[in-house]
Amino acid sequence: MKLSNRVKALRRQTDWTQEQFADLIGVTRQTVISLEKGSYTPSLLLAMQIAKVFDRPIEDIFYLEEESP
Amino acid sequence: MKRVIIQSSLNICLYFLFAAFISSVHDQLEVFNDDPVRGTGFNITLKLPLVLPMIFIAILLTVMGYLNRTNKKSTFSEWSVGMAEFSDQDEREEVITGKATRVAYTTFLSTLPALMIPFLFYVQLVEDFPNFPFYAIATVLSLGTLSYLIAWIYYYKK
Repeated sequence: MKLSNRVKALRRQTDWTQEQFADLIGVTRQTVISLEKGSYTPSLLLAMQIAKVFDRPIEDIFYLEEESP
Repeated sequence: MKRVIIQSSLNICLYFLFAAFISSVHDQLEVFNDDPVRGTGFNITLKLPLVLPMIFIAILLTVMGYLNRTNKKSTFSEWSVGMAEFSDQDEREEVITGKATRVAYTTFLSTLPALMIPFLFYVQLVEDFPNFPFYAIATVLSLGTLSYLIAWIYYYKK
């Protein structure tokens, strides 16, 4: 199982740059890149912060996905 | 990433500089025991043409490290107490630092026992290369730091 997210799509909807979004959630731009690529699984605290910034429930942004073999 | 590269590289340079400095002191260290004229004690002569460039390079490297610090608001005293390679900017960097530290620890666990092997030939080695122990320690420290640096970059770019 892998934790995937819709951060990239939601960020684009709001017209934020990666830099702006990084500042809003208090991380570096490189972390936003890793989050969007799905290579970094955020902590619960960061995930909740992201949900707060997008004003959406956490499960709208993060979801479990079966890993392809 | 820049701060980790700069600080780790500076640390490696400083290990070898310090080894060179201690070697020069060791070369000129004179220990006398129950000497009819001088009694018991030791005498150190520092060759300034050798020591001064080392001190200058060490200061230069420290200033470079300070100028490239992440938190530009930190004073020199704050910066010098903290370790720049551990000044993570967010939770992901903390995770990376944890993984890189694990790699560095594993490197120490393998390089330190490996260092014991040349010490089997200690007498011969010290005869040919009297300052071998200082450089051996600097090499082990550098390998640990280098593995930390490589692991940090690897996980950062992943």
